[in-house]
Amino acid sequence: MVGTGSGAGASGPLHPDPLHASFLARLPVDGASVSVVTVAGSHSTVSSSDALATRLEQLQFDLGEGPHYRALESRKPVLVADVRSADHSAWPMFGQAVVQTEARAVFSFPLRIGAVTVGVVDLHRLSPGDLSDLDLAHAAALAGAIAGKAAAYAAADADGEGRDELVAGTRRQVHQATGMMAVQLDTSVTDAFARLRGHAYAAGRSVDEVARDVVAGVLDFTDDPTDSETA
Amino acid sequence: MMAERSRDARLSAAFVKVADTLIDDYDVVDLLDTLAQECVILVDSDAGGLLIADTEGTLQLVASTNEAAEFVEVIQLDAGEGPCMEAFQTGAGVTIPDMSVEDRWPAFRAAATGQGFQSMHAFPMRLRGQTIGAMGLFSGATGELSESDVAVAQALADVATIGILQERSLRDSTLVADQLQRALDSRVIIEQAKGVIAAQTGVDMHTAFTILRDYARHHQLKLSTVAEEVAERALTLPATARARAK
Repeated sequence: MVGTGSGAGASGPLHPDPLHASFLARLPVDGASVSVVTVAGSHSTVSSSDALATRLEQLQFDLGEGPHYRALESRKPVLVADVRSADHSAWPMFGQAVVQTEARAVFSFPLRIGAVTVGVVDLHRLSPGDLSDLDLAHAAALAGAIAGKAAAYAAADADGEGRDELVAGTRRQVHQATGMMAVQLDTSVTDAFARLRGHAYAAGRSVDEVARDVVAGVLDFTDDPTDSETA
Repeated sequence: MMAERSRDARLSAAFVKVADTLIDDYDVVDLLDTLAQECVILVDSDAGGLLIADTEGTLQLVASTNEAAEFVEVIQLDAGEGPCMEAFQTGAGVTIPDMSVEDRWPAFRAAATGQGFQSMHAFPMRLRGQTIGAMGLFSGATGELSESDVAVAQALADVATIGILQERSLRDSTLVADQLQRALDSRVIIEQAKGVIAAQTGVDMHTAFTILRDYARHHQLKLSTVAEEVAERALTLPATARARAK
């Protein structure tokens, strides 16, 4: 068993354990970065192994396209085993840019909390080649294991506290409230989760407190005029 | 006390049921849900919960016979500091025959007695040196489980644990972690799906889970598959699924 991150109480933007570490340790890749979609809708990198990993992610943020975004939208892994021979028609600008880097293979995995997508793990390799089925299973499990933490870290960076919220995914009411809000707002659970966090942030309350109110029926987002535009 | 014959019959039925969930490509959450339900019936408990350790060694609730928030809270306290955590850490069963004289875990005791539980037994989910979680069985009456009850529940837990560990661990021990993580991910999706069902039909969370599980069983689908479709809102379950499944 890995330690439970004794640094969880530390302050500041330094993260107790780099979230990309397990990917480098368990998968045949040379670099990794972890990023999440923030409450404000922007992308925030919470963990990166090296300059190339950061550069690949930044390129995609700047261009607004690439495997990173495809993984986010499709909620499925996007695998480019050889960037020099791959079809880049889905991301032409990134395709041109990536072949000029040292990266020879790039892989993006959605970070999911249940059915909610909170971000992406971007991996790269300096030599071309596929990931095996075993690698894919590992990557999916590793992504599941860090998704809650990644979202919490991003929230902590945004307001300087609350790092422990959502860690370990034990908060049943948060997940239940997310499902309820998806129905009330007639949107996806991913959007509903963003709304839940946004509401908590704007109201200066914890996600847990707001979730409890939603499950108890005290708070109902049905026909909320501010919500109809988010779909 | 159950008559010996009917107990034997129920015992065999329970093993068959648990073994039946161990088919190809089975759903770990389904298996653990069946295990908890069957154990509660067999040893005549009032509620049961099953906890699995995540990658950091924190116990997470994966299945329970009662989905009410109050019971879930009892189990979650147990996961943090209580008999289930102890059973997980030591690999040995823990018995509390009388909560009123139990002083090792005051917060857990307060929550458990607050829900009317007077006794409980925690079983490790273990195979040889590896412990993957723990199961807690709670009763509204004081008293210890009989030796045979303990043996039966532990045997059922062992079968389920072997099922989870055996298949893939021979090839690569890290795959066990993958599979347990999948079970934890499934549980989150189930919670999201329960929320969807609750908002659509106005039922409470326990009923929402029953609707979900009965639909999956009735249509012979994996619980996690149905939950995912409901959470993705690709599938809307009829509120009458429960009645139809019976």
